[in-house]
Amino acid sequence: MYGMVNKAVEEMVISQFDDETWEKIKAKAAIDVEIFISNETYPDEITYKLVVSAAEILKLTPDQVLEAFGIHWVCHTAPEGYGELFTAGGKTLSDFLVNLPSFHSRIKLIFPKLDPPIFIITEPADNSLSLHYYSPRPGLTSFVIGLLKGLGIYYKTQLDIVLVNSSEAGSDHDEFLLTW
Amino acid sequence: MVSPHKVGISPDQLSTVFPFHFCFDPTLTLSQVGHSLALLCPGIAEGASFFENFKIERPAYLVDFESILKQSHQLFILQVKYLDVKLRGQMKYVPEAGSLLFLGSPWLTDPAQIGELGLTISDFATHDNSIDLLQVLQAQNIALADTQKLAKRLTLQQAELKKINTAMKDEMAVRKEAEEKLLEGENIFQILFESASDGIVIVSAKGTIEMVNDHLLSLFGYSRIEVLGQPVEMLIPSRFAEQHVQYRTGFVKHPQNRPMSLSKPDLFALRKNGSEFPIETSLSYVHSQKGLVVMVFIMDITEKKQAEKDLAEARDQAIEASHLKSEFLAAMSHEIRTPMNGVIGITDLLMETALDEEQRKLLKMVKDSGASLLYIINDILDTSKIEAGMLQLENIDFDLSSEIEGVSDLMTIRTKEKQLVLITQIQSDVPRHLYGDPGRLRQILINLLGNAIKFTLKGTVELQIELKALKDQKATIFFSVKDTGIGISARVQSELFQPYRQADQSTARKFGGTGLGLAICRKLVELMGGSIGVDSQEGIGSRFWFIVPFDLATNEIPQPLQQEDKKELYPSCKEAGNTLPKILLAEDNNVNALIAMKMLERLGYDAERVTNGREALDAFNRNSYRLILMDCQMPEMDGYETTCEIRAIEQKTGGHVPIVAITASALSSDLERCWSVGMDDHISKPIDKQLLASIIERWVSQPF
Repeated sequence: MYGMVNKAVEEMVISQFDDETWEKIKAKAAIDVEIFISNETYPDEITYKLVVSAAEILKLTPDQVLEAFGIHWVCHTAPEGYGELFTAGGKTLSDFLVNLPSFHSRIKLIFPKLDPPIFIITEPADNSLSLHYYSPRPGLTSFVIGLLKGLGIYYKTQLDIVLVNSSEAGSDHDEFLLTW
Repeated sequence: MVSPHKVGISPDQLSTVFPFHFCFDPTLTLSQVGHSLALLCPGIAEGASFFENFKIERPAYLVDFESILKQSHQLFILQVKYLDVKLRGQMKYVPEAGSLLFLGSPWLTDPAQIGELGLTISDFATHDNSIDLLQVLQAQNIALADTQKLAKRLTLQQAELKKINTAMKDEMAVRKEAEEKLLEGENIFQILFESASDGIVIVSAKGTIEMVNDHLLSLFGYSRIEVLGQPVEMLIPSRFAEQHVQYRTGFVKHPQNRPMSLSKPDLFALRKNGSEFPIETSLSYVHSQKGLVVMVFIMDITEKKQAEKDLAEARDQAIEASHLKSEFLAAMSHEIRTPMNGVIGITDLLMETALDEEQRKLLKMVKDSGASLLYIINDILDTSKIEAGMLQLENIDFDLSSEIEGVSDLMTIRTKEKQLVLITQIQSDVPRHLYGDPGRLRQILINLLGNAIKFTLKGTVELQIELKALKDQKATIFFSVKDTGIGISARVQSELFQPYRQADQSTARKFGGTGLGLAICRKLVELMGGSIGVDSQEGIGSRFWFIVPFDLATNEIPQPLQQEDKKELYPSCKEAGNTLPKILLAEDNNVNALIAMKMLERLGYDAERVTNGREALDAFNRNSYRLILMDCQMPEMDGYETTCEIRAIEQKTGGHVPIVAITASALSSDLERCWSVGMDDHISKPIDKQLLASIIERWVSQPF
């Protein structure tokens, strides 16, 4: 996983709780990385451990942590990390969602070691589309839901998210019907 | 307008893949503009002039269509005028249109530029890698931010490390210093430990010897290896060892430092060779990591003990010598006093005979000299008794006002002689009936008043008696004798109550005296539980005072006979005319006997004298007496034994003859003995005629 993800987890915990809580989470997860480098790849296991540990310390479920993390990512990490480029992702929620697949395609080109998720948009309409999410990493559906909720917040748009097909329910990917 | 050939492509389609393209003809007029370029800069539109909107940065120096055309294989960089943006791309000549086509996109070097230019990703062709470049740049920025963050944290950590390092260095320095001090302290301790003049043993809570100094080893005759780790009781005689274990266990539970002077008396230590020696010890303790550690200082006091013993012996000898001297003095004084009483008594008798003036004057001088000598002898006797610890006070009920009156009467005679005024004041709240030694009280007052009269040439002598406290049947009474005499210097005042001291030698020559009086007074007052002092100013006068606590009298005091009563007694005997009351005098001393016989004769009694107890017993058996005057100290059979015999006879025959003891002193021990053998009254030597008269009258007037 991209270092920025772990870094985002850290930022979220520190911004919403404190340094001490983050150190506790890290200690519980038995992770002794002092600083996550944004563009460095880290084993996925680290991210999972951090999430599980955070859930225990913060007395939440891992899904709640992932969702909160997704929101934090969109509302804080991405605008601060990607800045104008994130803003340039689209002037509207619709634009952004449409550009999302290309965005990840470019990432794959730039960082060949990374294995980014695949997003596919189908049935784009004025106020809805279907977002298909394929990932080599299982269990991150809640994270994607958080990301989508975050986008709704970022673009100040009421966004309804319906998980139409779920990888947990046996599908090969998650499919969301997004309406705004 | 570009004509479609094999792949027909409309301007719109071209705009989709090259949204920033434009065409211009040889007149340098723009003929087609891509939609994103038009969005970027609304001024760039069909019909606009090339050079009005662009500046060719590369290739350089192109000023017209031809020159541009010639360089069309080069990379073109165009500066969009009025905007801070460059277009990067290439020129392609389209012969069909006779125009040059620019294909390119904005050259963005900072992701921020997209926003600044009002563009989004959608404004770029999908194949355009400008966005990718921006993403790379952005990643680089992020990496840079990470690096900067790391660098910042590294700097902070470095500073922190330096700080820690400095602190550690400081601490190490402090520790080093402490270690050095400790080492130095240990060295100093070691030096002090070894150089101590006492033996030192350090003992663990378990009682094992942990450390000893050389001095201890030499004291006990052991080597270090023989004592270390051994129970400390090895240094103690076996008879004390068990007790010591108990004591040591108790000490460990409740440790307490104990200085040398508080060590128990008669402690002994045991040498290796089995010999013992007396010691003193001091204990100190500390709680160490190993537990309680006790340090014992052991001092060999063999020499000290010997010195103490020698000193005690010397002191005993000195006391004994002093005692013997005092006893000798007391005996001598007594021996001198007896003939002196004779001299005075006979002088008194002589003075009552018919004498001419010259004889009377000479006799008076004899009497006065005798009285002075007796006074001195009495002082010496008292001092000797005090030094020999033989002075005892009497305790009887007495009437204070009578005593004071008596003293006052006595001293008035002397004040009159010197034309002084004697003022006596007893405050009304002073209790009259007290319990104590009236004789000694009188002695003190007479002494102080005598001194006051002696050292006062003119003016007054005042005797004042005040009550200071009255509590729990105890009256604290303050006596003061104030004079207007020569006064005493401060220097002398402090030594005044020491024996053999007088104001100075010239005083002694001028005023006489033994210098013992005040020392005796002080001792008497102290024996009474009081204190004595003086306030004086030279040339103005002195005030001697003493304060004494008396118990209140428990019984009513019989009033002494008044002078008038006494006067009546004598004629009553004589006038009776009948058989004179017969009195037996048992007295071995001829002079005393002569005086007493004369007195009895003059008092009108028929007196018979015997010289010892045996003769007295014979006389008693032969005759009937109204009273017996019995000297206590007589050869062959003393007064006590004789009285016992008489009382034993009376047990069988009935009757009771009053026996009045003649005692050398009024000591209570002597009197007790008198009462115990059955005597009825006593009179002390030298016999006072008036007192004798009243005592005899008291007993003779009683019926058998």
